[in-house]
Amino acid sequence: MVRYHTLTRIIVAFALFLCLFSPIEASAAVSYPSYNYSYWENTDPSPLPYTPEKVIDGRGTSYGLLNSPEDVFVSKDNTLYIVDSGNNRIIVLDENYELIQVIDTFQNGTSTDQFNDPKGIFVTEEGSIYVADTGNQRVIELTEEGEFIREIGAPQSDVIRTGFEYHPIKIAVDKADRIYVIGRGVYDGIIEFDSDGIFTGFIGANRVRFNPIDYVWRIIATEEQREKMALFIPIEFNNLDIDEEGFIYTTNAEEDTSTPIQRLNPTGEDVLRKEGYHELIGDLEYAHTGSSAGTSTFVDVSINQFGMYSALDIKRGRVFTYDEDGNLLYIFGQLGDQVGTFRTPVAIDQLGEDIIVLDKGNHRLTVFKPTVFGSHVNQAVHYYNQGDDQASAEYWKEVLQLNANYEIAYIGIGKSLLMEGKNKEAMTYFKNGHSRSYYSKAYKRYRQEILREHFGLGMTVMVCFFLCVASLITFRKIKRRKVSGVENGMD
Amino acid sequence: MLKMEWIKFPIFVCFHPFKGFWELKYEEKGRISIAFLFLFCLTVVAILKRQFTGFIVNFNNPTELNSIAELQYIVLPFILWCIANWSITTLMEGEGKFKEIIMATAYALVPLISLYIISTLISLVITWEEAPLYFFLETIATIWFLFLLFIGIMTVHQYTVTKTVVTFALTVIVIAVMLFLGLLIFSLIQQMVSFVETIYRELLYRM
Repeated sequence: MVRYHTLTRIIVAFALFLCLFSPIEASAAVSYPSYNYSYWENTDPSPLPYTPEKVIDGRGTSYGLLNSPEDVFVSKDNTLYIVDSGNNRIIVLDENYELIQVIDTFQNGTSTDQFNDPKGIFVTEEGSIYVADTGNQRVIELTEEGEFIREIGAPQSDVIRTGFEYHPIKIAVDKADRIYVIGRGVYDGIIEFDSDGIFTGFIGANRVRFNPIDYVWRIIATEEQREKMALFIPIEFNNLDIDEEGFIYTTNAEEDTSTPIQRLNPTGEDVLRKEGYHELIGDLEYAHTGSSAGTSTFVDVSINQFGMYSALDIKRGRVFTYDEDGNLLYIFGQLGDQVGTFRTPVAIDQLGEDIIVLDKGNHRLTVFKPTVFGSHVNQAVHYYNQGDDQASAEYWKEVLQLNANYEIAYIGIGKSLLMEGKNKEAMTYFKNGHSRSYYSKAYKRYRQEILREHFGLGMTVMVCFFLCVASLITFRKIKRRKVSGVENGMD
Repeated sequence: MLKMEWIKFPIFVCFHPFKGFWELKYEEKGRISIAFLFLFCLTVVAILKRQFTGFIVNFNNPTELNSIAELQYIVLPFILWCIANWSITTLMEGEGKFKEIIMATAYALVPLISLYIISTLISLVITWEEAPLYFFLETIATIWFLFLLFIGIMTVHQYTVTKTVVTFALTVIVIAVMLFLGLLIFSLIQQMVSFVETIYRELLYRM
């Protein structure tokens, strides 16, 4: 017994020793468990989708430490722009995170100008840099090299209410060079400028929401009390992004809303697809009391080219990634002080398959790389987006190998089986994936198949049945007649 | 011959409720054992329905199904209803005996039992587009049941329509009161038990 014990110890010690020198990088480990929500809204453990790969805080570089950075943007050619708000500058990095340039001053007319607490940035496909220069209440357009092009000031129009204050914080530019600006405290909607920088209107104003109890109180309250109450004003947007088709994705920080993420069409209507199991509200289970109580509070959203989008929750420091149909694909991140956790995450973007999260509180940028699991999910969604169900299903199978509880994968495989005409098998997969609509489709075909196959037998049985019934009835009639005949005879 | 009558009479009641319940009361055609059999049948059917309804219209979480818990949705309301209705109607000059109330209520369950069986079977062979048929059957079953219950209670107590409506509303209120009292008693007993238990433990530690 003792010998056995010693042996176990040696083995354990050896295993630990091996771990120490194993080629698995330290970055692969994060300090939190990963989870995802099942169809029944349970939090199921899940493999980690992304792990931190690199941290950029300016330490040991020529540009020095970051100070309260507010925004990050990755342009089409994979150049990285960090708005280093505390230092009033913009840091431009290449895809290997090496410095290209620092933009802190520019020639505006005759004088040298600089930013004052800039909070947002957008770079067009042509390379024009748009900066929301919050402190100076203007938007600056610069060339790729950081040369001044123009500045766009506060919107001028009759429709603007009195008391409107213009502090642009986030910005996006569409393919037609229309400029969309989100202002701090602006609840009228997204401020839209045309390509010449002339104000054209507000779009996508959030609807006013109030709860009936408040309304009752308001009716009962006296004039003075009413004045002291909070106004029913629409919630303001806090960030935006533009997808390939020119739809604007926005986030807002309203509590208990069912639409914290919206996809606005040109008329300002929310057209986000919600075909997933649950509402797109981030965490479905959360504490109702305590320091971080309540629903997820999204502060940024980032779209990739396959219709997937990741939203950043500042309350619990989590990144939620959805596909174009609104299926929750994976969740990662947490508040904390270790690598891979955040203090005040404020911006998110994607460089290739990597996800970049900017942490204002920790003054740093964290680059997350997909794990095998995360990458397979991405590939599956990617192929599905391109219409290749077959290839997508192959990746979904890989995903299921790593996480058998991944219910969306069953639907993906089911779709491919349905295409192949394997209706019965597809039904099983759709059942596992809780997709009633697709199960119904598969079942309809399967039923048709069965009916066609057994049509002859079915008809025979039916004809036989009717014959039996008919003969039984006639038999009874005859019998009855006989009986009555006998009775008559008796009489 | 008598046994055939046991099956035939409830079906007769379903389609001729006025005459049926009259005969149930005054010609003593109803049987209390049959009434309990119906209650039992409905419980079994409801359990089977929850478990075996086709996937397309079955929204129950299979991991949370519990046949015992089903009793509280069928047997408990049944008993509460009968007791509450009896309590109210004795005060409101109802002519029905407790036994007759039980029988009237139970005989009204017949359409529920039969239609639930049919709808469960149908649910196994329908697609999503045909699902309205299933929900239609469910609704028919409920409406039919309520109609029979109404006529049954009305006939058994020899009430007018308005008086029956009032009795129904009062019965529901009485059920709520009974539930409230029940919960109150449970929680009080719980408090008492834990009080005694604490004292016992305290004594154990000190001795």
